[in-house]
Amino acid sequence: MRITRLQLRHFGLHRDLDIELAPGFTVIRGPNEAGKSTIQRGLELVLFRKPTAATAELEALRSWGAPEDDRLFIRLEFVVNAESETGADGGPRQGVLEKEFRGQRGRVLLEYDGQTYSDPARAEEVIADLTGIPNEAFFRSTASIRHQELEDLDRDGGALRDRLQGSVGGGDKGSSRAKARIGDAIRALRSRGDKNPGRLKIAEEAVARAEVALKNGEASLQKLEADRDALAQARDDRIRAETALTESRNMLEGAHQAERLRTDRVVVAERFERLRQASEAQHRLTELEASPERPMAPLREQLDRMRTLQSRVVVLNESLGDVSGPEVEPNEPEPPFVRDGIVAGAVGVMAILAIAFGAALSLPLAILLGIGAMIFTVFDGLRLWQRRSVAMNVRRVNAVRERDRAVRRQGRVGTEEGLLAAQSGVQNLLRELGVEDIAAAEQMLASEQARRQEVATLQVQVSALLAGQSPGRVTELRDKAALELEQKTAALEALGPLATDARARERLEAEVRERHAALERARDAEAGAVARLDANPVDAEQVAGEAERLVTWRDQLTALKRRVRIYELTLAAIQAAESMTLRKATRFLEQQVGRDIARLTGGRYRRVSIDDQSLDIGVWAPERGDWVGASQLSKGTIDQLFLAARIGLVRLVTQDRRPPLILDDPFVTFDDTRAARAAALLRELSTDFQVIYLASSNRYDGLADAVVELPGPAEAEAAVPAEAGAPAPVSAAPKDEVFPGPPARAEGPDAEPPAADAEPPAADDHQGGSVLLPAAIPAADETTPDADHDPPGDEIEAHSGPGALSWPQAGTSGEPTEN
Amino acid sequence: MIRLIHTADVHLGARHTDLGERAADLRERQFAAFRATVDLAIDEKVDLFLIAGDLFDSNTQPRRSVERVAAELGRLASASIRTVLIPGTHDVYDGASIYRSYDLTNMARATGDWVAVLTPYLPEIVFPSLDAAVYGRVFDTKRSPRSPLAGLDATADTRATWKIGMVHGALAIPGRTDADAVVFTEEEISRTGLDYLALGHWHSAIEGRAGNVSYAYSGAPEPVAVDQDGAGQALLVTLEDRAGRHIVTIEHRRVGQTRAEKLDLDVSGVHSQPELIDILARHADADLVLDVSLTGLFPDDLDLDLDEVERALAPSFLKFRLRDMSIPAAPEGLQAPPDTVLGAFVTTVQVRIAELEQAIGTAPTLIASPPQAAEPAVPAQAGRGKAIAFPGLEPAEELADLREVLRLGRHLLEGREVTL
Repeated sequence: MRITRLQLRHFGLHRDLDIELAPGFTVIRGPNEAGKSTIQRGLELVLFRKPTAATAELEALRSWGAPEDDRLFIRLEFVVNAESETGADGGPRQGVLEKEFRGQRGRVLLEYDGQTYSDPARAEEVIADLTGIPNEAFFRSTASIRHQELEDLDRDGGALRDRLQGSVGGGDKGSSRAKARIGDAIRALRSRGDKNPGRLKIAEEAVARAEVALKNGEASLQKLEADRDALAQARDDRIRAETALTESRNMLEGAHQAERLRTDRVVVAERFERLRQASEAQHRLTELEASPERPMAPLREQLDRMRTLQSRVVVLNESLGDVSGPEVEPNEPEPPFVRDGIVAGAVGVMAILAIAFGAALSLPLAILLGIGAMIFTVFDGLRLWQRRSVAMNVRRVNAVRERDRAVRRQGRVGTEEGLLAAQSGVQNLLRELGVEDIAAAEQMLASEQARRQEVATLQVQVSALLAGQSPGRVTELRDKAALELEQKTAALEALGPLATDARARERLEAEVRERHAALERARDAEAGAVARLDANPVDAEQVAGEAERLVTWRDQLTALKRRVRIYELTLAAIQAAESMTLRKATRFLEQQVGRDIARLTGGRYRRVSIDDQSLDIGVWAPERGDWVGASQLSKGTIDQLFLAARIGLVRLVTQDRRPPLILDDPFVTFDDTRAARAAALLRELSTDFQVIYLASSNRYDGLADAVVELPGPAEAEAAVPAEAGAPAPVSAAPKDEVFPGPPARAEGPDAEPPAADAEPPAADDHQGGSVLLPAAIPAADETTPDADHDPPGDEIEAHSGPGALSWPQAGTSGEPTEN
Repeated sequence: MIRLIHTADVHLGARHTDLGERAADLRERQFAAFRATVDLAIDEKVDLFLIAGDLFDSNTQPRRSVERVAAELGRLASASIRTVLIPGTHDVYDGASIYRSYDLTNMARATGDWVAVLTPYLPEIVFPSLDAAVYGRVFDTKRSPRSPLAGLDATADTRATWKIGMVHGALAIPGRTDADAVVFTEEEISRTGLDYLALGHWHSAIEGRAGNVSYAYSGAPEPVAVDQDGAGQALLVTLEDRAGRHIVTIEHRRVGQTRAEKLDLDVSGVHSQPELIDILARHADADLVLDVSLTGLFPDDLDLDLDEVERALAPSFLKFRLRDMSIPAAPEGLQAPPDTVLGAFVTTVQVRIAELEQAIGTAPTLIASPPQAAEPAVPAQAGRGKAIAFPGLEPAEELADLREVLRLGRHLLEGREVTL
């Protein structure tokens, strides 16, 4: 793309600038403050800035004091050599690009190849396609070069490298800055120190903490439920134990009651029996007392008399019976006893004699016989006495019997009389008593006696049974006792089996003891469950909080991990892109820069090596026979290297597109020789790229296809008041004054630079606008001050005039365009 | 005539893991909604207050929660409103039941006539003064061994005119309620002979009629999760006798405040973070849980710090959540030449993105302009993007990550301001 005409309005110093540019090498010259840099900025903006952009920078660029409605306006006319630049058929194609920066209402108008674009994005795409440069930043890091960029290139070895890297990076600042930023971000996230932990670590720790807290909380909640369950169970158990105990106690109470009832019943039964007996006795007593009573004494007396009389009757009867009968007992014979007496006397005498003889003659045998005979005599004497007594008794009895027989015979009559009297007395007494015989009378007495005896006995009995109670209420008491007895029996029966189970009480007592113990155990268990519950301080809402915190932290951790992942991947991808790009870039640059540096240094340096990684530039120094680091070169050489590299980069990145090269006097520090060489290089380049060089000196004028001279600030200022009311007129003047410089050159490839014959008519335009001068090129060979200033051996002179070299191409490609 | 308030599924103490530190606020709101329901009952001077299960979110809720509930029930009792409550599935009447651990009736300083908890051992209660009987069918296990309505037939019950049932469970919907613990059918409802069946378990209010029985789910008084649109209400039910016919009227009354909204915001029209905050701040509502997903194409020149946006908007909402589901826009205009680091970076990542898109089957529309170098420094051979593959990630996840990598790397390399 080559720009043929540029118009700026309300743009800094340029209230209305309209200049024409050569398709090849154009020098725009003006003193300081003439607005050269503004023109560079204007070109950058018109090509790449969105018309709708609203920035402080744009505002600042507006002409001072311009009316509010006058906004930055830039217009370009350009030509694209379609065949060489886009590969399409056909000759050069013309285009117009207009931008008015008016904030949201900014507009763009692009006419190219028969199409009109007003959509900023679409226009941008077309421009990018035509220039091969995607954006403003990239333009500024490649094809738009400022002299400031070269200012501190010799500061250190890294400066040049960084610049180049920035350009190769394709962005504004280069990839190292991007890597540094993302590296910092990754470190900030990943830092694991205790003092200053990164967010990742904080989140990880928080997640771990929350997980533990939640786990503990959930466990406590589960325990709470389990304990509550256990408590419910324990409570049920306790209630059951209580019920069982109550039941047993009731049973035991029943057993006790049964025992009491049984005891009571026995007592009541006894009382009833006593009262029953008393009652019967009383009844009998009453009966006995109701029968007639006889006096005992007369009865007994009469009976005694009767008995006496009766016994007389008996006796008399007996005696009457004896008298009347035969003699019952005859006299008994008397036993003899005299003969025995004589025998006994004789024995005795003999005994005495025997003893006497024995004693006198001292015959012991005789004595002994005598003693024996004596003893015999004694016994015989005793027997004799007894027989005599018996005989005496018999003699007396016989005498009595003799007497009786006599009496009886005398008393028989009296006896019979007495018998009769006694018998009648008995009969009288029987009549008195009213009984038939004595036996009945005896009976009567006996029964009377028995009755009296019984009454006495009963009276004692009753009084004993009643034991002080009123005898009158016996029956009542008895009936009461009977009722009581019945009641007790019924109560016992109501108690069921207990009433009859004698061992129930003992059994139940054991059961109550056992159940009581069971209840105690159940109570302990319940108390234990309650204690466990009370000891569990878990708060479900706090646990909920932990769960919620955990989720929050986990989400955050996931997000942070993703961020780290993305950052790390971004870093890795940038590094990968770097290594892939730089290898090719460095090779390309080595080639390009090597060629250009040879030209720029007059052949002193020819080979350049660029490190793939660091982009450190080394130059082969033939005089040393070694590679020399860029930092060791002179400032001028470094500048040359940079320029060569920049131009190489433009070629590298734009491929077959050709953006205009805009240089804001980067050679300002070059001495004339170098400047001439550089200019010659540009001149050569201008066959390929349009070169717009902003300069304050006129030393490049000779090589330029066109020179546009800007008035100094004072002149510009002076011009302003005159034009204030009329915005348009100034533009007309420069347009009219376009010099046909470039066409002149187009005459022939070998034509000498028309320096001499095409002298600009006037260096300064009185109108104050910019002026496009025909290239007033001094003959490069003669006029370049190289020879004067540079030591001849310093650089190999490029003999072929750069201007001459480039003319043919410049002529063919740089056809001037006129509106 | 008898009038009652029917509520259920208050879920006091529920966990809201998606709400983070605002979850406690929602718990507090759930209780506030319960209190509002009690207020409504008192204002309307109803006769009965029914809680059809899941009053508590679990049986392990702390004592203070039970005490607060008891105080509310005490208020009802003081206003001569009888409360009948059944345990549900969250606060199931098992051994560890909160209703066994705490005696709500006692804690409400009331008698069983005024605050009654129906259990398997107290399945029904008759209020002669109201001429009403309330039948609850409660199990002591989470999963019921049979339908809760099996065998419930109040037709022959002559103790009261008005027969009201309470059940916590799911009305059978084939294929949807198979996993539910307590299920019953409409036919079973129609056979109960009840006038009104108060249901709990579903968090959205639903009503219906089976045979002569009106039934309704009151829904939760305050949403327990963000997708419960029908929550936030209590039912005011009127049972009246019109010429011998029992008429049941159900009115919905709002008691809950909390709303949840999902918002898909197309971020492609947003130019700056303050603008995004302004747009979202228009939805500001302290009762709103706003779940924002940024969708569409994420503009290339937009730099958002999502954390910052969340922080800025959090005070204006009950809960504000922001998720970026947008797709970073492809760079506008031409891309950097492929021989530059930026160009190579973009190409590499885009190749991998294209591979993934192909693998997933997404239309490859996301790369606005494919690598366009005629002779790229980095030839786009198939598979060479794998150099930057993530191990162990789902393709979709990796794709999203890579798009972000592309945006981030591009901005960094272009030297633009971008939040890291």
